[in-house]
Amino acid sequence: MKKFFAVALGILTAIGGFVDIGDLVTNAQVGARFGLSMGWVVVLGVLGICVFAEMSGRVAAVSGRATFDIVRERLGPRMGMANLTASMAVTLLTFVAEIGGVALSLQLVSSVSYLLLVPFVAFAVWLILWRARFSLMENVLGLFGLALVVFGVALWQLGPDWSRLLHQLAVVDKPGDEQWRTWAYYAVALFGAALTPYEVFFFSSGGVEERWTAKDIGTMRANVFIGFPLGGLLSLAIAGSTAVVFGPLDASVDTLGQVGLPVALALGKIGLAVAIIGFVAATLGAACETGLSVGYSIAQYRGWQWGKYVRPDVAARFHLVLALATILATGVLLTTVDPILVTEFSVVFSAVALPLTYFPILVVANDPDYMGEHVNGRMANTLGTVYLGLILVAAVAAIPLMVLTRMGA
Amino acid sequence: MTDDDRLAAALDAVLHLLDRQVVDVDGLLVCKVDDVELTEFDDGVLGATALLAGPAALVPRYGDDGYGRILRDYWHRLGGQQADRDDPYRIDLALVERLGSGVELSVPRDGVLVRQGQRAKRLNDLLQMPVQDRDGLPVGRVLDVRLEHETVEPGERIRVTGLVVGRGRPGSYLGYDRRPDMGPWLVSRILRFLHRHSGFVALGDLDELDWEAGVIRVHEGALRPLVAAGS
Repeated sequence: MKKFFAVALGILTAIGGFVDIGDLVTNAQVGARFGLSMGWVVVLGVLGICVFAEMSGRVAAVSGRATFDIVRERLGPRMGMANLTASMAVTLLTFVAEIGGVALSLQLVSSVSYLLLVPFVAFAVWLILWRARFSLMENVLGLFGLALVVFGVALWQLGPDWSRLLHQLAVVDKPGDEQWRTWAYYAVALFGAALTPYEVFFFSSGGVEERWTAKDIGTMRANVFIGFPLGGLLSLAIAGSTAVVFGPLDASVDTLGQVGLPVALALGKIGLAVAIIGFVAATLGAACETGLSVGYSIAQYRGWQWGKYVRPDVAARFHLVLALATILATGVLLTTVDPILVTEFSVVFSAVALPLTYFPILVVANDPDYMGEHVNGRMANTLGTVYLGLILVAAVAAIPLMVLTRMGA
Repeated sequence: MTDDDRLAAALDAVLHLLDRQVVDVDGLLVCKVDDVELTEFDDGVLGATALLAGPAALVPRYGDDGYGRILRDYWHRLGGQQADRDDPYRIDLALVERLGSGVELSVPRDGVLVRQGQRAKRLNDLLQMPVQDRDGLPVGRVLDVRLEHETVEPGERIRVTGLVVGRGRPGSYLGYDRRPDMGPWLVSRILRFLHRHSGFVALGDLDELDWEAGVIRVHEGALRPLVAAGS
């Protein structure tokens, strides 16, 4: 029974922790402009993050080595450093976006400018990273993130034409007033939002934090293969509800308030309150995860002690990186750069940086020296190879599409 | 994880030892294996004797040209007054309990890193060294160094048995050239094609290993098919 609760808790936090600022913004924007016609990208992206997370989780459980240990070992210090620089640039960008997301969510409640809230949010994030127990941080924020289920309820309350929505999901098409290259740009952005590199840095390092062994592979798989797809449903619900409200108006989504608008229309104040709790929990959880990912990755590259399973003074350099990253993110936000714009950049650059860490993980998951009997099976390798192709295409296409479409304008 | 100790049998230094995490007896993290100290024993046998760590071992591995040189210049300029700027930390191989996915030490990490004190030969001096035949024509570059555990009086040691030599194309740290059975199929095919010229040269088949000039000379037929270490 205790085991059952542990698995159930893991799945619930995986659902609640799945959505972050990138998913919120990108899904709402795509829903408003394309309806559910891009639902297949969400499905593709969710399956991709399942394949990637399962492999890195398995490597972490069997070998005790997290993502950037593997990157450094397999690519050497030179390529590893290039990889680290690119991955950390994207993760820091995401970290900035998440902290901005928390501040924007709190602005919805308090009507205080998010710029005034940013330093307090950043301080709270740093405090969590420094003091909170790993499992406490994961579970509390993950469970509160489940509040985003309110988008599913809102979609149902809005009473859409279900057959039309499902038809949009089933066929590959676009609304007549959109160009195919804009369509392709948003497809890559949505793919990058679902498959963000930090999710894997965090997932594999978290496995080491929680001392997974080969025995935990079953639990890990349950979290990944049940939790992530259900989290993906939340993404679809967000896209669906903005599709119903904004689609007929030809309006675009540019603020976090607009993301929450369908919930307010369908469920009133109470619904909006629940949605905002979901926003805060999802972005705060993701802010902690991205912040930790920066510390994890740099420490893993250099061999420093890292992790929240030891006292902060034992992992001093790791905690110094966390503090510096938080200060840097605060500084970036206080330049008054629009956090939504940062989010849009972060999901596109996520798609660019993804192959850098995906490929070494795919190789090591096949290496019997590390994995023994737990090497990739035929299924994992078939999917792994298909996704290697998809990820490479998305990475190569991302920047040209961004320039060509002027970021989907 | 395979339970056996890699250091107790044959291994490839780059593929199985270099850049791995060093963990102490309590499971705390110590450093990375930034380089490996090579020593010529009294009987003329070349062997691996210690792990090297710290920026003094890592920075030279970024290379002698381009960014590698810039990085090294900056590294020196940051502490020009320090005499031990180029002196890496050293962990004797005798302190290594087991080599698995990480290097497990038999002692706690407190005070385990001591300065090497003198410049010894390093694995990195050997890596990428050009290999030529007797006419001076290039055969390839050193991609990896094969090590083997042996027991000789008065104790045990790790000796170098040969070199993996290839054209140095991308992906030489991935191990596909030595493990044809490793998946996924497509990746394996592409990387094995890129490394189809790679081979193994036993240390005894070297005509000359010139550390000063940084060149290795072999005679014809010294390059043998590459198989996994220990097989």
